[in-house]
Amino acid sequence: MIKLSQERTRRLIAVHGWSAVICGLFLYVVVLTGAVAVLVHEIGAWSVGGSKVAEPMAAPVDATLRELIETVPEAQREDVSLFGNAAGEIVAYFHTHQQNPASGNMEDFGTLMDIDPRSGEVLRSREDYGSEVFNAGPGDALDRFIVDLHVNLHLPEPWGLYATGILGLVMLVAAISGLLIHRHLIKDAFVAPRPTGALLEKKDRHVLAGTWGLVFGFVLAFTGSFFSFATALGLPLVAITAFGGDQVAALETLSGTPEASDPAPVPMANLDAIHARSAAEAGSVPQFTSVSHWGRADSQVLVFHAPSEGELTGTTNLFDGATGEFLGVKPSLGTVPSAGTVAFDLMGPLHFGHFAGLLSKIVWVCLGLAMCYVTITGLQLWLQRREEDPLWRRLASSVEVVAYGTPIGLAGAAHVFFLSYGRADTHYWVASGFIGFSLLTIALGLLLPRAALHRTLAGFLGALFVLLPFTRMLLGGTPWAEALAGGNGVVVAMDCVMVLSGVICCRVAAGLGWMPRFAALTPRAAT
Amino acid sequence: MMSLILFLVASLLSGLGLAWLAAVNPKRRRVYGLSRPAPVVPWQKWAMAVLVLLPGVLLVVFGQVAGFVLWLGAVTVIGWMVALRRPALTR
Repeated sequence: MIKLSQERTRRLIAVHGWSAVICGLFLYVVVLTGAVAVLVHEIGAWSVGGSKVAEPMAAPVDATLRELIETVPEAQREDVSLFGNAAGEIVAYFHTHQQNPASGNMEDFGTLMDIDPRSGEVLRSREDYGSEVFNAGPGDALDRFIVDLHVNLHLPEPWGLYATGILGLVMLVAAISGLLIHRHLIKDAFVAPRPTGALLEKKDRHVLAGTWGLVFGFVLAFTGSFFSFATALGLPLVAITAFGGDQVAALETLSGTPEASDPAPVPMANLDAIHARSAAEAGSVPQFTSVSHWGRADSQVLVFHAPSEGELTGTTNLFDGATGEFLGVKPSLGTVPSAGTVAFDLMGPLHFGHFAGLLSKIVWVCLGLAMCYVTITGLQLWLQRREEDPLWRRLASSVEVVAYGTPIGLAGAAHVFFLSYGRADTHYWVASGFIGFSLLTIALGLLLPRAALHRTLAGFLGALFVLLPFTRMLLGGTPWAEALAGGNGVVVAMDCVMVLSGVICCRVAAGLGWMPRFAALTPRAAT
Repeated sequence: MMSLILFLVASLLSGLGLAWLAAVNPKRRRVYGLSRPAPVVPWQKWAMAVLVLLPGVLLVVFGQVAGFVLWLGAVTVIGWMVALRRPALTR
């Protein structure tokens, strides 16, 4: 590949290795939770026993909204946001904009209601600021915890975003330095791990996963850093450098100048008709609807759509809220389509992998897991080369603890979620469950000899995974027959994934391969 | 549904191409002590490249942009899985 001098190669190996040693374990947590978070909608639906309806936003909502808006304080009738949650409910947020005394920032403030799309009944209602009110229902605890761990490591804003953004940059550095130091990238692309020595085998495994995952590692790291830094750092920097510190002017350039204000009261156009027209234009069911200035002459309705079949990006349609007239497709960035808009639009699908439904999500989960594998095997390789040193030996145990402790914490949190769902504050208990199971793993790491640690933790993780469907169903979760009858195959599929993952971990704990071998292998001397 | 079928066919063909590449890869065979295969003739090299890459090109030609990106991801995962699996020994 690329020929470098010995000195440069040595320096690059140091950069590659030390960046991984310093940030590798945090990077692993972020990447693993990211791989899991790809399935966040499915996890959300599984945790609450499935969706009430497959497409809540396809249900008629206009009459319900007109009725409900009369029940909220008049000040909160300014704007309405509308979307479907994982439980198949419609979430409506009637809100205004005011300063949050806790943060000092201007925020949305209003009443959020979870609505049954079949009956229009309000299932839950809460009043709060936009930063607090979303995903705060009891059924949102598990998926919200996983997403927050991935996005900001549960650190306060903006420090959490900075931390994950920096970890994304570290992953970029590791990918680029890995590409430069590995001279036989193409030649070794098909060399299966050689079973002649633990060190060589680990090196082969690391190189192989790194080689095949290089391009997507780069893409995931770049887009992840973008999402971390774009709002936390990027927008303020753009505002300072290009708009003299005027964030409002920067926002108007990025999202368009608001229409001239016209507060004259006008009846709202029928939202169901707007949704139907928008779905016909976009070729998919609406995902999110934002109504600004409800019941005013200057009202506008933005309807966001997921990508239609074969497309990579979704569309956003703009309607006149008073007349229901279709005003056109609204670019996600700026006021007219541009190369910047295309690049910006690609960030989401490339990072989240949600552009082709479950199929693309499965592929993205595999890519994320490949990155986890690269991170852990890289760390193991680095530490095994230094295992004579007691300090590095202690760190080797911590790699095992974090590698297994993170999924153990997540699986434990899922068990605790089912125990507390409908009985206690799920958000509190999910966080407590994660911490508790993580501490238990750390304790095992301190107590057990290293030789026994790997198998014990793998067995523990396997047992937690296998037991999850039983915990779910024993504590009142939807049984398989009912889930299938209600069109919630995702519940059954997720249960099967848990059992399968558990069986794989148990095989590892038993000293077997992660899957049965169908061809006999007799290791032979390898070069 | 059409997009799904096209993607699956494209991934299957590329997977076959990758399996072929792995089966005749000289270094893979050497490190596992497998019998040396007959040298790969130029048309076979072309056939392997076409089998791996052409499905992706065709997806783009048929306007399946999402299918192409998905195919890229799938080929990465399939390639890794194919390479990771140790070969059955022939001698």
